[in-house]
Amino acid sequence: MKKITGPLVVVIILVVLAAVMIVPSYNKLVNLDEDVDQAYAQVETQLQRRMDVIPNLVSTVKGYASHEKEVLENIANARSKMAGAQGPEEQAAADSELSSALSRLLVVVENYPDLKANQNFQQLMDELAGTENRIAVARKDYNDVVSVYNRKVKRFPGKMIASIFGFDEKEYFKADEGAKQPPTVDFGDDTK
Amino acid sequence: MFVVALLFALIGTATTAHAITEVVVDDAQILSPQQEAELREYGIRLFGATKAELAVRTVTTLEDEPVEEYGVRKFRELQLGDKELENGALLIVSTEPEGTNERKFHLTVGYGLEGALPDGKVGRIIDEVAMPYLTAKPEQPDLAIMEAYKAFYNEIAAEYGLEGDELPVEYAQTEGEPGIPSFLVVLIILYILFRVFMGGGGRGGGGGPRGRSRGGPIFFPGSMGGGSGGFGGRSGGGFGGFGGGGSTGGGGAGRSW
Repeated sequence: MKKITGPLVVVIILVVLAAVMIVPSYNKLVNLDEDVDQAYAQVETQLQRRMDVIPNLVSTVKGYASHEKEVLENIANARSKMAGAQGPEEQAAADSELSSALSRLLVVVENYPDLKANQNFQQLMDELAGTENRIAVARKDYNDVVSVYNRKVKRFPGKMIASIFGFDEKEYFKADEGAKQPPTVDFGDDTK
Repeated sequence: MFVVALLFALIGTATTAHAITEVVVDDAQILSPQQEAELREYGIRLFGATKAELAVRTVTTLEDEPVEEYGVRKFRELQLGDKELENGALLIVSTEPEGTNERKFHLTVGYGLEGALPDGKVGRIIDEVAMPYLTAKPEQPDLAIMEAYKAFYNEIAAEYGLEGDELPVEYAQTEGEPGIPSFLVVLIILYILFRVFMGGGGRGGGGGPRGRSRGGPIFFPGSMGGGSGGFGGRSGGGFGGFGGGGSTGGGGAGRSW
């Protein structure tokens, strides 16, 4: 009898030990994974929100500056690229392209005082600026949770559990540092 | 055991009953004690009726931090608004040291108030209510804060259906941006006189122009040099906010002054 209980006890202890180590770590990973998804959903919501503002903005601008075709086309192109982008890296790239297209619009707008004075335009610009700020906040929140998640996935014991249960490292949403800044508009000499 | 239970009970009450956050902290010393007291009264009244918190922070400098980021950081630090409703809003006013950075006047809006205070409306209120005071000579940032606060208050109150609780917002009576408005006024008066004389006085003379122009701090003075008129409150509709996530997603709008 004693010969059987000996190894059995060892096995039980090992199982309990493994459970004590694995379960919390696994649960933690699941929670973090969920947080990452949620944060990413927020980024996507805000990106979508910006895409929704743009058509209104473009049609308002067209009313005053219809011959600024190139700028408006660039925005339309960047927007459709954004719509087709998949995953954080692609979306981040499309996002910065859209940002720079929009910033060129802002420079052009300086030549149209009537447009700038248009109440509807001003409101859309506020919505756009607010949305860009929301994107920045959502992106930062997302990157923050991704960094927590990735650290967990890369370090022991999370690393072991992550490889067993298939938790992969997550992509950061990397934006151009330049795109983060609101576009600066020079009132002095706005030639191009 | 008893001590532990007591401790838990204490922690419980401390976290569930969310007390109001200080309504105004005027580090830049813009407001008079009376004005601060008035804001506090409004803030507490609003909190009592709706659990919404509308707070004001003035700073002498943002130290080159973008005001949007500063607003979100501070907002989350203060945890403005009800935990479930997330109905906070934070007005940041910075007076930077002479000639260094752009001074800011910015409202950061919590998730739950995005319906009452969408970015476009916030921008418009700042343009119409605050900017005239901020660009007046001499500048009146204290009045800009007071009147914008009331306008934001009214929007939030309307969202929660507190119809009888609107604060009268006083619009600045600017003495005209160089020339143009008074020139226009003269033209319009001439036009009216022309009509009255030529038309045989059929209709009564119209009053002075009372419109507010948009897109800049150009205001038509309601009466030249007269006292301020005191417009009534503003109505505001909007959808309910949405919850979840952090306390603010960075909504809101602002201007440099």
